[in-house]
Amino acid sequence: MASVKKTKQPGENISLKTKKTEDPLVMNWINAQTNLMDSLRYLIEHEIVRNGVRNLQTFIPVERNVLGTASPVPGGIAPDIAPATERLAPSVEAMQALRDVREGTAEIAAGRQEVRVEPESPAARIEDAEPPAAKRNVDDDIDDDDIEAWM
Amino acid sequence: MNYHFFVGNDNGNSEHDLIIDGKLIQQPNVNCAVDELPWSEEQAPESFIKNLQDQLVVTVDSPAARPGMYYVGKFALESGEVLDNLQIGIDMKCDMDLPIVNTLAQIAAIAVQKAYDEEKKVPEQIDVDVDMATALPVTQHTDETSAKFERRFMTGTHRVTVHLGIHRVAVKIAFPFAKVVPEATPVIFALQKDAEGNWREGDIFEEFVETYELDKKFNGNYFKEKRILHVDIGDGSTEYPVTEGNKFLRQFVHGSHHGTGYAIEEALDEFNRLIHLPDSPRQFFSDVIKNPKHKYHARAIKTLKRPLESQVRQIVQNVKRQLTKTRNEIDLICVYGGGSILMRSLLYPRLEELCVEREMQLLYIPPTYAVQMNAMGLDAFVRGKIYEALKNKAVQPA
Repeated sequence: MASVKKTKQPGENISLKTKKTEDPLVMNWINAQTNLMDSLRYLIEHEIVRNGVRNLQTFIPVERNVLGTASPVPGGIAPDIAPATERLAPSVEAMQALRDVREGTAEIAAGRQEVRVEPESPAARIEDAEPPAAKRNVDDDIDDDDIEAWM
Repeated sequence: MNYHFFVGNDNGNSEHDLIIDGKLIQQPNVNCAVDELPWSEEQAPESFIKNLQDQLVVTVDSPAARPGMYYVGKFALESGEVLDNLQIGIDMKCDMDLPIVNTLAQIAAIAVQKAYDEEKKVPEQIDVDVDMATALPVTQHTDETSAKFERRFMTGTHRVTVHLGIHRVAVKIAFPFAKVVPEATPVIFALQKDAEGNWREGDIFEEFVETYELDKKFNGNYFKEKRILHVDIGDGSTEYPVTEGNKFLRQFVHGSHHGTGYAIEEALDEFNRLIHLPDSPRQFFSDVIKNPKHKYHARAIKTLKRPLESQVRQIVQNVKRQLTKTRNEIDLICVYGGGSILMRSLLYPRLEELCVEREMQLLYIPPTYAVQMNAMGLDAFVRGKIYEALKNKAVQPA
């Protein structure tokens, strides 16, 4: 079923599946949103205001280390997008939170307190980061294929 | 007063299970048309509210059903009036008035209770918008029948008067969108997650976890990618859909006209003879069967044994047929539905044998959950992303 990518129309769904190896901070950010999709929309709006409509894939490295998970060097943003995203660069607090996560010593300072990240292997940490109970039927696992099946 | 409700609506042949605004209602799926109110004297309308489902009398004025006054559910069953019910194996649900009338009545009743809860006084009038997911038996579900059933709810406004003694509450119900799916298929969502949207866990899986010596931290996440053959045993039909993850596989959709209703009908004459009644409805027999303390319970079970065995045999045949079709590529067989409770002692061993032989697991849902699985699945479905996407598509055609 390898086909040409379909152009999205207004009102259609986009789906976002998190990676098994997603950075804990990314999961933490996702879980801290009360309206995830609107928050993502906000990020898209900012990108458009700064840089217009472009395919970000041609500007960002495949191997990224923005949050510095793999190396201890903070602020490892690819040079060609760094100017555009100064305000997205890690703050002092975020970097501290990052260290806390990695050392498994403290609650996350930057995110909401309700998501506890247990000090285990990185993979296990992500598996355990469930959406908060307040959101009813958060079915982030549902993709376009699933929706298609019920048409 | 304006409300918006999500409704997961399982219109069974025997029982009507709905989850309205998060509340589970279980009533016999019967009603009767009547000419007048059963009450004439003034009684405090408040006194009706708490157990409204058990004394539900409504007047329905809807484009989708014959207008008139109805006793609904338990109150109808106990009224001694001539009952309307779904004739198993004969009636097409999408053409019947009963599922429409009973659905409207239950939604209106919940609206009245909610309004009273919030305002602490009996309301005059309530407007309700309803998002609903309901189902048709696999044998009756086609693009045409489902569209027709959806249209009957979605066309026009339904006016329901709820009678609290001689006091009347007017409830207007509209369905901006309703989705009709094949029965049993939404159960995959209820297996995975609970009403709060967390992975389901707890005693529903207890036996399963013990049988297969699974991790104590077991939860619904286990079913996320599984291929499941469902065996949803109802009163008038048994459904055998195959699901994979969050999808149902159209090519394997299959249902048969087997269920406890047939066994009960076969046993009913004998039962009536034993208890010296010329005639008693199927739902009365069902009630006696469900209640081990009823004085006729033992007699009812005795007359039922042989007819039940024959139903079990045929259900196992149908399961085998589905397994052949799928080339045994099934991770687990999941059994539930009202009929699964009565058949358990006969059916479990036969399916277990089949599962060992063909390297699958058997998840036999415990009796406390067996009946509500469909309503729970429909409730999860109507609140979920798939329903939302279907609704968006229907409301704004491309």
